[in-house]
Amino acid sequence: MKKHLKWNTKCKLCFLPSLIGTAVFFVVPYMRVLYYSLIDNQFRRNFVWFDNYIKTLTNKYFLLSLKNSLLLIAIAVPILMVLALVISLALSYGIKWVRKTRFAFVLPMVIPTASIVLIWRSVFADSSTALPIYLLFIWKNIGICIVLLTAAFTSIEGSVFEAARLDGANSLILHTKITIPMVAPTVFFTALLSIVNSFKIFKESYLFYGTNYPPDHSYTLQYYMNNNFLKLDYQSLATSAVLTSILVFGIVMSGIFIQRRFDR
Amino acid sequence: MKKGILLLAAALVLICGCERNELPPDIAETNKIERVFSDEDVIAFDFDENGKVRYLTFGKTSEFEEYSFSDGEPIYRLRLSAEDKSEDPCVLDEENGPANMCADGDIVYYPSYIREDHAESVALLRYSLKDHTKEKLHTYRNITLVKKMILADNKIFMLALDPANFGVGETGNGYYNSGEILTCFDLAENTESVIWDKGAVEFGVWESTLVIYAHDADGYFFVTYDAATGDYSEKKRDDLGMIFSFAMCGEDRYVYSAVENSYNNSCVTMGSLTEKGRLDIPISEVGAGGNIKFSNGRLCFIDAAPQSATFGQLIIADISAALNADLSKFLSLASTEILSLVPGSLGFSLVAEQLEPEEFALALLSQDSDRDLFLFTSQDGFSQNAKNKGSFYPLNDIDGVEEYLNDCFPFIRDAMTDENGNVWALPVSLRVNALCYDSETSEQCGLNFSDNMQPDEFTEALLKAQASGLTCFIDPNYYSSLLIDGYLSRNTSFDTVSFRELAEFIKTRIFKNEAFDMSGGSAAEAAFKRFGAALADGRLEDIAFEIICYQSDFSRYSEFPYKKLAPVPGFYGNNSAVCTFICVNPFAENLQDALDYISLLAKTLHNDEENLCVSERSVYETSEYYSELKSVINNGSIVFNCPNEVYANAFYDYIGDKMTLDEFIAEADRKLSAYLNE
Repeated sequence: MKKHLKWNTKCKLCFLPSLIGTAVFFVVPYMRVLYYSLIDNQFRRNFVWFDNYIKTLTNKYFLLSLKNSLLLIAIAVPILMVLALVISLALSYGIKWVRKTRFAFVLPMVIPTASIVLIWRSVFADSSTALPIYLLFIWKNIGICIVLLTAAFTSIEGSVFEAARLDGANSLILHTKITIPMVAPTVFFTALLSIVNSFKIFKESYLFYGTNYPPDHSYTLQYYMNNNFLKLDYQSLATSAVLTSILVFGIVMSGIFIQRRFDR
Repeated sequence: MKKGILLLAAALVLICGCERNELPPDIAETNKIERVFSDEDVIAFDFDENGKVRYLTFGKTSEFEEYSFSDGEPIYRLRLSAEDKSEDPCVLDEENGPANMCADGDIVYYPSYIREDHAESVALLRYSLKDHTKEKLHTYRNITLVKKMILADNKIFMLALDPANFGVGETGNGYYNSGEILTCFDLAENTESVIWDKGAVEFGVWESTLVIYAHDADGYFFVTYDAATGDYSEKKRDDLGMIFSFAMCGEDRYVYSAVENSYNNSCVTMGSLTEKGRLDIPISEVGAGGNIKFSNGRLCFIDAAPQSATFGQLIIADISAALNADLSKFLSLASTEILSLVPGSLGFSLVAEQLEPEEFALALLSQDSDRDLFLFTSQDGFSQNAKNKGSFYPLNDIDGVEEYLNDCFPFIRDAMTDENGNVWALPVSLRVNALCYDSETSEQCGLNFSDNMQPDEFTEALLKAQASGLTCFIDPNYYSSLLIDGYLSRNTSFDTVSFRELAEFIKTRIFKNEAFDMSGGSAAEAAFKRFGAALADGRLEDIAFEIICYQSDFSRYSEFPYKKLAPVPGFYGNNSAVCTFICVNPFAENLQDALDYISLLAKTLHNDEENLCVSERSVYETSEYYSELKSVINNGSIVFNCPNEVYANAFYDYIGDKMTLDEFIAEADRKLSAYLNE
């Protein structure tokens, strides 16, 4: 028992630097941002409670940016996941032409964003829809998704499939009863990662349009926050940051909830 | 018990008294110019501890016979004059000599270009003022251009260009070696040696110690060289940037002038080899220029940007009051403006840094206590929010601020006061656009620049002036932006009938008007070339009209009796003005010093006869020109503009026929709406 406690203490000590880092660099700044979202401004510091939230939630440009960010998640993330799954499966099954082109899938991860955007601008002259940004997001993120999903597929022991086949399982059963349940946690994780990454497509979009005011269809939450930062409107910035974090938190918790339901 | 309380009270009083620093000495008041020689084109000089100056000139510019030409190359006579005019000027050299010299009593040393053994060289010559004899002491084989020379410890130290050293040490990471080397010629032993050849930029001498400012691939540094022992110190990294001139003014203190000196370059900066901090020493209205030399509390230098027509004025200023100034009273200033627009340090060590708008916003919002002062303009997109969000220390009760603001033009005073009556910033300078025209030539050509002139009349006048061969230029981009800014000062949407008319006017009557067509051979191009040449030669009298906005331009044109000012023709009847202002960080680490600085600055700006912000200046009563200037400024308005980015791309697409008017207005209006409402 004594030895066990000692081990626990050691574990906690090992965790401590990470906890301190998280507290100093994430929790404390976040609490400060939360505080700023509840006051009139950071210099006078009068509490206005939820006035800033009401103002932000009724601001048509915040709502526009929220809609565009959610559309990106709703449209681009599923496409990204399906494409990544198909390519990962093809790689796992060793399909020759896919294996030969696998380098191309990780290429966007190593090419600088500015170069990617340069290519994109030459290909997509028409910016009347958000399609270039959706495709840019998919192309840029597909590499990491494929790496994660292929690792999940190849980590399933071959002996599990062999045992199932001996028991008379056909290909459909192998997929539905073995492959899908075993890679499901990685699929959920990859989907969540892609959703989070969809909030970080600002740099590419900014370089593509070359302005702080892109067409309405591509005006996302990052633009709203960035522009308010440049205008020194810290309260709008803090409030929208808190709302965005709540949104991301909600999506992540929903994902975890669905995954747990799926596991049962 | 009572005794204890009394002692405690006394101690508290002492502590409180010590806490409050005395106001720094007003360095501007104590550094007076002693002498200015403006009738000669000074190119080099030397002066001794008694203040006796000898200087080298090309002769008066009006004396054309001083110049002669041989094979197309100019030959200058280097003429030596004495400051007190007790001696007749003597001609030192009739060759095209490197413009430098140093003196020791009646002996003058100077370099001269020669050609020896079929090679270009520099000879060191000695000239005796007693018997007017000249003697060649030495020939430098490896240098071509002498930048600076100092006589010390019976040795002549010379900073010169060595072509063989050019580019040495460059590694392609942006480091540039211009090839300068520092040499020493020992007058006693007649020997030459190289003191420093690794990126020397400037040097100064104090007693027998040379202080060398140089740079390598890792940046700028100081290194000292003991001429008596031949020992070098370690490199001490200190980045003053690219400097014009440098001189030691104490064992460890130096003065220098640089591009980034504040007060519009009307100052030198003092620094220390051992202490941290720098101090700007304003020297009246002159720009501290090249070849600074220091002796016995006085600074002698050639003004690089003289107001008069001479090439370089020689100026002596007494800076003894600043020599023992405290360099430790730091104030940190963040600016979005170029640093030459930063006001003077007024006895503080003002460390200014120019930041990108994003960095500036971060510094302001993060409440970084390291930044004491913020300098920005009404053109910066965030200035309106900075005012509204209270990101400042209220300056209402600061000594001198109220008096200064009361004497400023009302629109400036209003812009510096927020809705709660707090003075949130101190106006430092103003740029207001005005049309400066030559009343004589305009009248002769039938041009009438009245106060109510409309833009279409103005473009007609421009055409007429170009056809008449007048010298004038109006930048279509600048004029268009003034018209759009004027519109935005009263409107929050581009989708109006009046803006449609304005946009069409700008396209058809400005960008597609031959008056602004700079293609080869056009009358506009010819007028522009005449304009450029007149500006380059300083022939302002030849310029028929142009739009000006800077204080220096207003001053320059004021010298001509027939120059007049009128508002820039626009549709909305006001002159857009840009105000540069300074505000105090409420969380500043040196808050009290920052407030003391603001107090001094307010008083200085209030008494500054050149400050356009002040409405009650005696100069406004002196001439019709200044009366017109007052009227133009009085009709000004500070608009906390939205950035040009909001409409610029679409505007130029419209001008370039890539967009229709409807498309341009829809796009610009969409962005403007987002900017104003997000």
